Amino acid sequence: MILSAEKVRNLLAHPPENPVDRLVISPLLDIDKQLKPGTASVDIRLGQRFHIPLRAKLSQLDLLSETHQADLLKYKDDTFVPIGDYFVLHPGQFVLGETLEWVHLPKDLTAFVVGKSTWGRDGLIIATAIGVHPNFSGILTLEISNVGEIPIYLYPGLCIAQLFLASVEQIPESVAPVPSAFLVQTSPRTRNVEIEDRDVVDLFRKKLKPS
Amino acid sequence: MDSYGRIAALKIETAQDRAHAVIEEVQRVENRVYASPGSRNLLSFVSDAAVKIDVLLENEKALTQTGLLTVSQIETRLHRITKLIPLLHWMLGFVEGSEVHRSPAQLIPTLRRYAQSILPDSEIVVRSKPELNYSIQDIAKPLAELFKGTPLETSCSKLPDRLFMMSIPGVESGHILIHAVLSHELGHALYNKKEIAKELLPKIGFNENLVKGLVKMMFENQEKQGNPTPELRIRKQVTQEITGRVHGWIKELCSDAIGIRLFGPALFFAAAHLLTSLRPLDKSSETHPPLRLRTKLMIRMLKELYTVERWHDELQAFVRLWDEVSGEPIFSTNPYDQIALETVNDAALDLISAASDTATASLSCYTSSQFTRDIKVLAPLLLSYIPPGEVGPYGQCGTAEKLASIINSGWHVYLCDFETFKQNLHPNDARTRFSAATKLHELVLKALEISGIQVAWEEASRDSKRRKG
Repeated sequence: MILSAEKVRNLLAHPPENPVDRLVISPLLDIDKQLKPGTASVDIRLGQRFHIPLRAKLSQLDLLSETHQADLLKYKDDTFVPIGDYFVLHPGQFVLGETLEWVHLPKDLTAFVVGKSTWGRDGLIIATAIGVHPNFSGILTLEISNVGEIPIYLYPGLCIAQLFLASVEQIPESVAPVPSAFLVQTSPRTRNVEIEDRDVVDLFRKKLKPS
Repeated sequence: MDSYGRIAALKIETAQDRAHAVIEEVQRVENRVYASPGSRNLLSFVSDAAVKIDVLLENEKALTQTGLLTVSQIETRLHRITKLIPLLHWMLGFVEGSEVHRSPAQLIPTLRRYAQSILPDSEIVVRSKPELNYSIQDIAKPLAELFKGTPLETSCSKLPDRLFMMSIPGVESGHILIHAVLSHELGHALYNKKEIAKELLPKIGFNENLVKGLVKMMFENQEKQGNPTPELRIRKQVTQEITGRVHGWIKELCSDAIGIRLFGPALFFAAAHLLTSLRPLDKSSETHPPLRLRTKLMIRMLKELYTVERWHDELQAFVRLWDEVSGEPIFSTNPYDQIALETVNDAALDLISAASDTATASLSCYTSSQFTRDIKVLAPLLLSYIPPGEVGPYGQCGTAEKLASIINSGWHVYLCDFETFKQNLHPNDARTRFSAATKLHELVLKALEISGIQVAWEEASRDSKRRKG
C-alpha cells in the first residue's frame, strides 16, 4: 500500500531507536512543500553532482562487452554544480544526476521515483520508474534526458521528482537481504558489477555459433 | 639615449603583453566554479592589479618619450611597476586547484563556516596540490605589506582582512577523515592571531649549561682541527639554531594542542595515520618536532580533556599503544635537536597545553561529552549506512550536525567498528580494506554536505524572513 504524506511525515518525525529501522530522507529542507498534505509522495530535489559520458571518447555502449565497466570509468566526466549554480542540458543529451536527499528505507518499505510532470512538459524526462528496494541506503541516481528541442537549465536544489513509498509485506526474519550493487551510493554512477543475467545470452550465443 | 629609448619602449610593450596575458588568464579561469568565494576575491584582485599595471605602463610610455628622464630614472620607474607582474602569477597559482571538482566541495562550505566562527572576518581558499602536505598561509596581510607604497596598494581593498590559503594533498582529496589534520592548520592561524608566541616563548628557557657544553665541545673540536672560530661566534650560532628550533617546534606543538581542543581525538587519529606513516618517529627538522613528541603531547591532552578510560576497548588499545611509543626516549644525533628536546620537556608541554586553552577560551571547542554523545548517536548511523549530517527527527530545521562531530564519529567507526561497517556492503565495495574505507569517507562527506546544506538553508530562510519583515 502506498503511504500517504501524513504517514511518511509521522515516520520521519518519530525515528525508531535502531537506525536500520528508520525511514530517512535527508535533508528535507522544506517539509511543508515537499510533503504536501493529502498527497501520497515526497518531492525530492536535484542534487549537485552530474555524471556525463564523454561522447568523444566512447564509441559504443555494450553491456555485455568485457570492457564495459572499465570503459565507463575511463570515459566519464563528473561535474559538481553547487546549489545556486546551474547545468544546461541540451536537446538529446543524457546525464546521470542525483537526488539531493539521502534515502534510507527500512526492511518493510519500498519506493519508486517518478519525474515531475512540470519538468516533463518542458521535455525533461527523469527515468520512467526507479524502483528502490527495502534496506536501500544512498542517494538516488536520476537518469535525466532532454527529449525536447530547447536546452533546459537544471538548478540543483529544485524539486525535480517525486518519491512514492509503499509498504512491503513482512519479510521473514530468516531472510538475509542481498546487498544491492547501489548500496551506499554517494554520487550518480553506473553499476559497479557485471551484468548478472549475461549467462542466458551467452548460452544462446553459443547455439548461434556455427559448429 | 636614442637607442635606450627604443629599448625602454620595447620593455614597456613586452611588460604590457605580460599584463594582458594575466588579464586573459583571469578571464579564462574565472568561469570555473570555485568551492570558496576566496578564490574569486583573489581573481578579482589579480585582474584589477593587471589592468592598473597596463595603465601605468601606458603612462610611462608617454613619459619616456618626452626625453626628460635619464636612463637610470626610467629604469627605476619601470622596475617599480614590472616587478609586480611575477607576484600576480604567484597569486594566480593560489587559485589553481580550488575548483569544486578538485577540492572536496562537500567539506568546504562547512569548513569555511567553521573557520569564520573562530577567525571572524576571514576567508579561506582550499586547494588541492600535487604534494602530500597540508598547509595554511594567511596571504592578505603579507600582500598588503608587499603592495604598500606601490601603485597597487588600493587593489588590496578587494581582499578580506585575513585570507587563508589552505592546501590539501590532491590525491587524498576525498579522504575526509585524514582532513582532520586541517584543525592543526587552523591552530596555526589562531597561534598567530592570538600572538601566543609573545606570552609563551619567554616562559620556556633552555638549559644554559647544555648550550655552554655544546659551545665548548664545538670550539675544542675546531681547535683540534687548527681552524677555530671565535667562541663567541659559535655561541651565537648555537643559540640561533636552538632558539629557531624551539620556536618552530613550540608553534607546531601549540597548533596541535589547539587542534585537539577544536576537533578532539579526530586530529590525533588523523595524525597517527597520516603523518607517522610518512616520517620516522624521531625525525625532526628546524621547524617540526619529532612525531614522537607531537603524539606525546596529543595523548597527554586527550587524557586531560577526555575520559579515555571509558572509550571503546579498541580505542583504548590504540591510545595505549601510542602512549607507550611516545613515552620512549627520542633518539637524535643532532646536538641542536638534543638541546631542543631537553627544552621542550614535560613542563613545557604543560605550558603549551595551557596556552592552547587560553587561545581557544572564547571558542566552541569539542568536548568529552560531545565525543561520548557522537559515538552513541552518530556512529550507529554510519554503521547503518546513513550519513550523520542530521540525526532526526527529519524535516526539521536546526538539526544539522557539526563538522567535528561528524569527523569524530567517522574515525570511531573506522577504528572500532570497521569490520561491521564492511560486512553488509556489496562485495565489490568490500573487496579490499581501502575500497570499504572509501565508502566510509564518502558517507562522511555526504554527511558534511547534508549538514552544510541544512545550515545554509536555515541562514537563507532567516535572511529572507528578515528582509520580508
